[in-house]
Amino acid sequence: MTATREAPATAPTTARRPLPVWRPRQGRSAALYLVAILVAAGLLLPEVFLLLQAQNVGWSELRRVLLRPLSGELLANTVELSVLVTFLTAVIGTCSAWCVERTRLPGKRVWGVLLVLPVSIPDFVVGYAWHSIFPAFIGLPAAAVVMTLALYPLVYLPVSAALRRTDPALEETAHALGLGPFATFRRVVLPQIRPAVLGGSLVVILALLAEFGAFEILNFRTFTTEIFTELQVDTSSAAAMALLLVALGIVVLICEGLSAGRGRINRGGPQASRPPTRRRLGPWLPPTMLALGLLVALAVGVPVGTLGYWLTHSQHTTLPASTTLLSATLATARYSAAAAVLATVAAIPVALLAAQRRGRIAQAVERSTYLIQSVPGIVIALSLVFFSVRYVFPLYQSSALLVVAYALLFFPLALVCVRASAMQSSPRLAEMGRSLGYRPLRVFWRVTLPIIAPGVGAAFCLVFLSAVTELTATLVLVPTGVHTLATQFWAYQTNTAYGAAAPYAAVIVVVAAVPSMVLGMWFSRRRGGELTVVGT
Amino acid sequence: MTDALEIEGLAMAFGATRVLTDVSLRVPDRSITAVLGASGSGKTTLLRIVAGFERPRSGVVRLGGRVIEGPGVHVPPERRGLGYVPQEGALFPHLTVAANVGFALRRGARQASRVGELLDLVGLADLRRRYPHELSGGQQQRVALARALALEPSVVLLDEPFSSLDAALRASVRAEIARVLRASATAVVLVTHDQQEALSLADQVAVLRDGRVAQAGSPREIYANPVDPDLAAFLGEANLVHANVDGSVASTVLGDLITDSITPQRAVVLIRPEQISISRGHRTGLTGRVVEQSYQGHESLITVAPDEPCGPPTLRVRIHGTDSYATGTLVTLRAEGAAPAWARADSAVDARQPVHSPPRS
Repeated sequence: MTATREAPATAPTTARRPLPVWRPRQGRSAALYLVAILVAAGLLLPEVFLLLQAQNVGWSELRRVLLRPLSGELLANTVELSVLVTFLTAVIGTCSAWCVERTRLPGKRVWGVLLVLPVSIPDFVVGYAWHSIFPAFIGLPAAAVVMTLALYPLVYLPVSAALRRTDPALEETAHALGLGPFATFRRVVLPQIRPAVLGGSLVVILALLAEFGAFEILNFRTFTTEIFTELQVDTSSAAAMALLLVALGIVVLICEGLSAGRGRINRGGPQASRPPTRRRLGPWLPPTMLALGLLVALAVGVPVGTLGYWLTHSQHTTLPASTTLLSATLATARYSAAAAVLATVAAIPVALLAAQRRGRIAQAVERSTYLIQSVPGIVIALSLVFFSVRYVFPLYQSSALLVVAYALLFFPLALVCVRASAMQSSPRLAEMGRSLGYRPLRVFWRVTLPIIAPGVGAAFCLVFLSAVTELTATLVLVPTGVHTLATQFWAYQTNTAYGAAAPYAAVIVVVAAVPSMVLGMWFSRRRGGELTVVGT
Repeated sequence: MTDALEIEGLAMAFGATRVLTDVSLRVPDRSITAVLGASGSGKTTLLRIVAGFERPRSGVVRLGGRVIEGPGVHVPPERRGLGYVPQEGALFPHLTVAANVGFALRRGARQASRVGELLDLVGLADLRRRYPHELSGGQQQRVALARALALEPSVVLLDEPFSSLDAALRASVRAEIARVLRASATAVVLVTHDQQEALSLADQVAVLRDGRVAQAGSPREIYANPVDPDLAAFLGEANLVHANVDGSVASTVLGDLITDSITPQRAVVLIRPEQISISRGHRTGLTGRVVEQSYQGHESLITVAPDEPCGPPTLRVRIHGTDSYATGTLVTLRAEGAAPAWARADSAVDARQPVHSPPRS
């Protein structure tokens, strides 16, 4: 659409004056726009509350807190860890995805599931596992190892999806033009998966900024752990650091936007019709298997093994009454399911708008929803506490507030899943439905929703899973007297009652593993030749 | 006889980019009209306006005499009762062939029998349980057509229905779809950039150029009597040869041709390659040397550089595939038959200059 820019200068002289009639040009999708804008506005509330609170605190107090030497130390910790973990996860995630997707590795499907499994083990459980084995393993090295093992699937998943999408003809062409396997990977494959690697790395950095539990256990101080501590004593200082943390997140988002904007893969044209070619590993097979095996052993084996050990070896008396375990499980499942429904329903209009409409409004709505990614759970919790205490006291310590916090926190996950499906559902199909005699709402039920259903299902699972494993916002917002799996685990863990904490962690892992398996399968299944409709 | 579809003075723009300036077209009942235009000429936009997916800046669309689009009127797509087959078919990927075809029908016994009828009509009764991705391109097109015919629309719109098919398949699918459409007794508007497709399939061809209908008429009429040289070249191979017109006779170096165009003496005439006869050696007519032979199996297209200037630097001649002329052969060309003539504007005589309106974006 570059031609439009110079067009006014050469505007044809025969231009007819438009007829003076009301023209509902956007009218047919006005409802979609309206709902999406409302969702986008709702997602901006935590930032608004945070700014209100900062205004309350006052500039001089903010300055005092942010210019303390402690802030510098925390910033250094954060940057060091981010650089280290981002690099390691990018390398490990990309290499393992390539091995699984592009080589004749035996047991491809099993590896696919095993390698994704760490995503369903909460970071704080991984931290707890390592710490209970090696109590002296603390600080930056410990944090880097634990977070790398916990977060590399965030790179692995998008990269393996991107590798499956690439057209084998491109690589074959590169080979035909005389490029060897390594040069082909660097010049043809890498550019295609670059957006996926960058996108995954962005999520890793944001997860690091937001992490609380693992760092608290491993005695590694970041803004998040400090905010949590200050929250009990000095809320204004917590708010000041929260502002800084959000600013850091926004910087990361901007960097990603600048670097990824050019890397968008053209999704027009016929999709790859053949599965990509797989390389023979030959003599590399044993070392590859060994490396992947080691990765799975460290990332899955250690936490699961530790949990198993504590479950079987702890004294019987420290085991919690099974009724507490059951009620905590039910509470967790209830909150998580409610949050998953809320986040998924909110994501649908934004995803449809982002995937199927062009124009400034659609773009602005989509962009504004990105911002919530940069707000860690602790900050969302903080802002909601501030909001409820100050304006709507009955909401304070209510279940609704916790559900809203989860939904805000995990909205981006829901959006990613639904949008991926919405891309498959061309607006042409909805138009087809209308030309066959159905009103827009019926078309949504009969055409659009069935087509985006896989994405909607994945969104629900992913949000549910994330909410089950959420610790930080839960600790702040859980209603008094209600115990969830995460709060119970934390209570025992803090008192180094590792055995008593283990059952709760085990239930979290099991509950989260089911949707994560479903998700893994969804990602690894090749949906047979979706019809890609190319508009003119 | 009323027209099934009437389009009057349609104008459309996307932002400042004008796509359609002033399009008028009548589509008679039970006929096939092909809208022919280069890519980016606004063909798809025209169909989308008729289907109700886009609103024009101005203009009126009537369906069976009823205004469905016009000043203050916009009948939503679901109440137009038109059949629409978009490019690539746009089958619902989550539904089987039968469910796609029956999508618009109310559930019940009637639905099943109607779906069966439609699938029989397009010859795909065996595939009713398949999903779209299990079909070939031609089968997808036929399912999309059956789905569009489900509600017995009075007009069916087809957007480049054969462009995604490979050449071998295209001819058979085209014939099949033409048969189905004639059997269903609806009016058809078919949009295409392929002149051969338009000429072979349609009762009426409308050439869209620069946002207007440059010419509309029967295939023979517009092929034999295009309104201007550009259009002549767009519709097929054209030799635009200098001529002196006197009354109804246009004299050229290739011989005299009959013309009914009223033009000044200095003119160019359109001579199609199949109007020229070619013979070896030096005889009466225009001599020249063979520059190139493009063999196409059933026929060949010979390019000849004439010895005398006659307008274009080379002439195209169509011959049987069984004949062959080596490059450099001395030949004599003669032309006969009728030919439209236009006043000679000395700049516009390059016979193979393609007719391209500016692309839409």
